[in-house]
Amino acid sequence: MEPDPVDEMQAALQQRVSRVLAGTAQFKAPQDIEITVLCGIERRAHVPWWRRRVLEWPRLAQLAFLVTGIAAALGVLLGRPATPAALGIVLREPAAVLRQPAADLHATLSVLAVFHRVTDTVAGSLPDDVWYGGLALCAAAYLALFLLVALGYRLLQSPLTSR
Amino acid sequence: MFMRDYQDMVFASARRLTASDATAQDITQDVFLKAWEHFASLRERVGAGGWLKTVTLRLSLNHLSRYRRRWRFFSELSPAKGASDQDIGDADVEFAVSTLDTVLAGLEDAQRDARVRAALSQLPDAQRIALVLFHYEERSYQQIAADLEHSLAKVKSDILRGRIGLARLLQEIEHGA
Repeated sequence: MEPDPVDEMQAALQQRVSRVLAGTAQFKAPQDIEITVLCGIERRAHVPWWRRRVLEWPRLAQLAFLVTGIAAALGVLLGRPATPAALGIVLREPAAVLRQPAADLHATLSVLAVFHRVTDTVAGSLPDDVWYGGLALCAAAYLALFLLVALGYRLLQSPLTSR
Repeated sequence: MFMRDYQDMVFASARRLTASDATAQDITQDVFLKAWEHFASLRERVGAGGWLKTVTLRLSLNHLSRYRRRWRFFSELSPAKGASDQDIGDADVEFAVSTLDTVLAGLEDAQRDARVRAALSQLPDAQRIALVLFHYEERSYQQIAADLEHSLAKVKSDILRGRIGLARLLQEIEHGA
């Protein structure tokens, strides 16, 4: 069977490009990259465990986090969010290793509880019309902004297609 | 020592794919931080270079796909460009072959490297990434299609367009020099 001239030409092109690219020297990493990486490693080594990913926490802390999370979720679902007072009972006798992160969690939940009470009060006092009007206004503003950005982007051309 | 052995390879792979020094540095840092996390098993392993290469490609492609997803809605409202080779003729391929035979002849290494890098950097992302994966990383068409979540036809088209585009850009650079 006769070889296809188009395929032959494309094979020749592939070979030329391979040759051109293979003949190019490899990029060299910047000289300070080693120091940057070592600094990153150093920083990471000194990050306290509660600021790392949950998967890297000690087993006991992971368990406590899981139990607290489930309790908080159940509390919210049952209509009674975990309040600082309820959490205080748990916090009275924490293991020494959990004291700092538990205190952080306590402070965060206090803020969330206040926020929850305020929004609950405000939401309850507003008539339905105001709610629906507000939501419609937000949706319209979002849509208008989105269309404006899309139009601007199309006019100015995408950086991926303009080159 | 471990890092010095591999830092150029990692940086070069990331740099070629992302076409950005700053991004390549960030990716290199992330790769070695991951290597540090797995250092105990990696030190014993013969194929540490392969592991680093795989992680580099994955992080670079993740970075690029995040970027691409962010812009896709705006940039690809029209049918995907490069989905067909109908507008590429035999003459384009012939032109590219003859250009690549001559355009870098007689140049010093540094000059030649600079021109090839500049031309590669100017290619559209889709073409550059596919071209780099094929020619530098020695991935097959099928592997590239899987890596980029594109169809095989689009990958082949992007690579062909990338090769022709590279020749055109090298010629433009030569004329501009």
